[in-house]
Amino acid sequence: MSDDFLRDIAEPIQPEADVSRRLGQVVAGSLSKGLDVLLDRDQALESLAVGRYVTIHAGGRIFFGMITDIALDAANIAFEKSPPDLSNPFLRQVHLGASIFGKIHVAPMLILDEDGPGAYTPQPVKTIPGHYAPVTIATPEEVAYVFGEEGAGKDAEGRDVRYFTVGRPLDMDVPITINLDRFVERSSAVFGKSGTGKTFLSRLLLAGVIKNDVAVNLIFDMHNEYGWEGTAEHTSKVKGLKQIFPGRVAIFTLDDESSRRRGSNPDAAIQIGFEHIEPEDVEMLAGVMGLSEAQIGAMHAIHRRLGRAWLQHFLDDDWLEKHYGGYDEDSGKKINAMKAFAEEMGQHQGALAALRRRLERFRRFGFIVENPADDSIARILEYLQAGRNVVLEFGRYGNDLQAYLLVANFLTRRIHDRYVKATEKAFGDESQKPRPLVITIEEAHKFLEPGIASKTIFGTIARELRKYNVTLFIVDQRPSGIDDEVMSQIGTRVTLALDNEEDIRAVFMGVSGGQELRQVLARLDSKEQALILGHAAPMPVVVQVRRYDLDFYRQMGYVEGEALRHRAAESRRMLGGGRKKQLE
Amino acid sequence: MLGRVLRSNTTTFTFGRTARAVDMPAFGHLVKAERGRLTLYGLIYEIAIADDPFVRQIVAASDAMSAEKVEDMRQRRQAPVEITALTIAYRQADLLIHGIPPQPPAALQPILPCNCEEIREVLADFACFRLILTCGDCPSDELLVASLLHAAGCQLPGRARDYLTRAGRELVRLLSNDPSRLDAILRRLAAAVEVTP
Repeated sequence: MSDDFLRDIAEPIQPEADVSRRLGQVVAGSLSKGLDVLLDRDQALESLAVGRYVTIHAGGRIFFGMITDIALDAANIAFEKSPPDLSNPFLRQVHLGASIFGKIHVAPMLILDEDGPGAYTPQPVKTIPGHYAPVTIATPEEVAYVFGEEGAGKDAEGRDVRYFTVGRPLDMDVPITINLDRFVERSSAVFGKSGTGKTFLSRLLLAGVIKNDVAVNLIFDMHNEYGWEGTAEHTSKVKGLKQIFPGRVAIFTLDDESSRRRGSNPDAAIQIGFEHIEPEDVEMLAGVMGLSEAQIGAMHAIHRRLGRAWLQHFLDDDWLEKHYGGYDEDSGKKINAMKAFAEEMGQHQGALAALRRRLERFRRFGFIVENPADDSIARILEYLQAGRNVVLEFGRYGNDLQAYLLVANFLTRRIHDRYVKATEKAFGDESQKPRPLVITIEEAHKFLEPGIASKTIFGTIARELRKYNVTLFIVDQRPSGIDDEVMSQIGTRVTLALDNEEDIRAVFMGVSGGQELRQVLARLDSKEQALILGHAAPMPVVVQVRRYDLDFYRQMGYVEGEALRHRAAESRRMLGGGRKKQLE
Repeated sequence: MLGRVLRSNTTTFTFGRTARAVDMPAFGHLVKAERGRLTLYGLIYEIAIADDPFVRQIVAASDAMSAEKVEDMRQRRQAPVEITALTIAYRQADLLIHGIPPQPPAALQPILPCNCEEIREVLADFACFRLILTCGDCPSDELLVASLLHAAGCQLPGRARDYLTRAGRELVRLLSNDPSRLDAILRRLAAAVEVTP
């Protein structure tokens, strides 16, 4: 060895990452299974938590990752079986971090590639940092850089997009935003067990969509929580979307009496004519109504035979008696109208009688009438095309799953059909395309469970992605009840606490690195903490959900009291001044 | 000067000296010898006082001896005290390299003691631990403890405990597959730390 060679190899290597935030170093791992990080000896395991972000500086790039597991380990199993004497301060100092140590597991989420001095582009993670790369706690600035600021901005591809704050990470005071344009681009979902704040979070996200005008919404408001006002556990009432955005949200109701009693002051009441209901509208209720395959077949046969008025006539004793009853001319005996009807339909009389009993339930629904006063579909479309968001309140029918499924399916089928036609007509002319529409459904697994998802309009919309500018916003507590194919098409998943293993598994269906994130999801607080992953977030993130309170209303543009009076007076002055000017 | 090289090989060197007690090096001390442009460092692991015909005769002749006579006999021995050191590092072109030197020290080369600054430098990063732990002929665990305690005494004020702690952690890394051996060494260090101010 020459003396020069020895001097050259003795040059020290400069560290790249900020040493003061250092947690440890990468010691093992893979892209698919995540990274094992050996913690430095002075790191207190107790101060770490799953869901926290870390950065890894390696090869001139910054890897962003999330802590998904925390573990205790030992250099030799003998140290676990026969622990060293840690009562001696010296031995304790020697052993901690050397023979016994802490490890964390990090799921790599994205890479920041340097574009120029201080400018980075987030890229999907396709590689991992090398051995012993230093791991540091991500700074608030780094997290904010990745997620972007609330309001209009550019995404990684340079497109104009709008960001909306949904909350803050659990351990730092930085707003976490989602990309709203991407949120509505594909179907999205909010999952969470009962009582975790699904409705609050959904209302908050919908407020963001409305405020930023990224899409128009049709909300099937099963429990009357979105339109005028909602209920909260600790406060009495919270404002619904119409109170926050009075000019941009319209409330439609199936139960005018209930809506007025609650002070909703609906814009229109929805009525559905018996003649408008088709067997396909009823077919997806087979599960909740207990309809057999034979009865579904019978419905179609009746529809073919009787046409549009099939349901009305089938439920009308007088009509059946008039057309199929009477007396046998030969024997003079009374003819059983139902029997004669069944024979003509080629169906079993008992099956038809059972079907009739089940369909009779529709008569209890006050919104199904013989002669509706208005074309509800046209009215809703008119509002949607004018950019007004429609909340459909179910009133007392919200507790009747059959009514909810029937109406949601009935309206969605027809609105989707109009959207398909409008979109196809506008092919080649972007300006003619209908506004992007987001349809919000609760209890989504009832529409999208395996077996029926492929037959319902909601399954179709989920699978079509944004082809016809219609996407779903699913709110559900049983993601495991949703068809796998539909789940795989959900772009953005916002998940509050879930207990059931099957539900947790379902949330991560088709998500790269999902197995590691399960640990994060399983440890969410039972309220107001959510894991957001997918299309609208650059990487999975655990947030403390933004407060839905007066501050939020104001940030959305809500004005009240003195400010509202002031604004009204200002408007009057402007209008008066304008008229005066004209007169002059 | 502590003595002169009697014999050597690339891993150890043995030097001889008189038995005078004034500057007698101890087990675990660091000593050095020159070899051309190289400076070789070794840890003393054996100190041997061999007999010779004259001592044997005296011991056989009488039981009673005056203290002056015994001391005189010790100082004027025909056979030297033989001290063997394990080579752990060498310096070449101002670079300190932990490992076996290219050549051993030549016969009759003077052996010199190391001052505290040298001891801190040579035993600073524990790179020699593996050489010591794998030494076949020396009492490696005892040598390691003795040399560490000697080096701890040479640290700057208030740094001895930190030095021994870092050494202990390096030992954990090297001996994690032999916890009982590790435990014995660390307990020896812990006992010393307790009495270290």
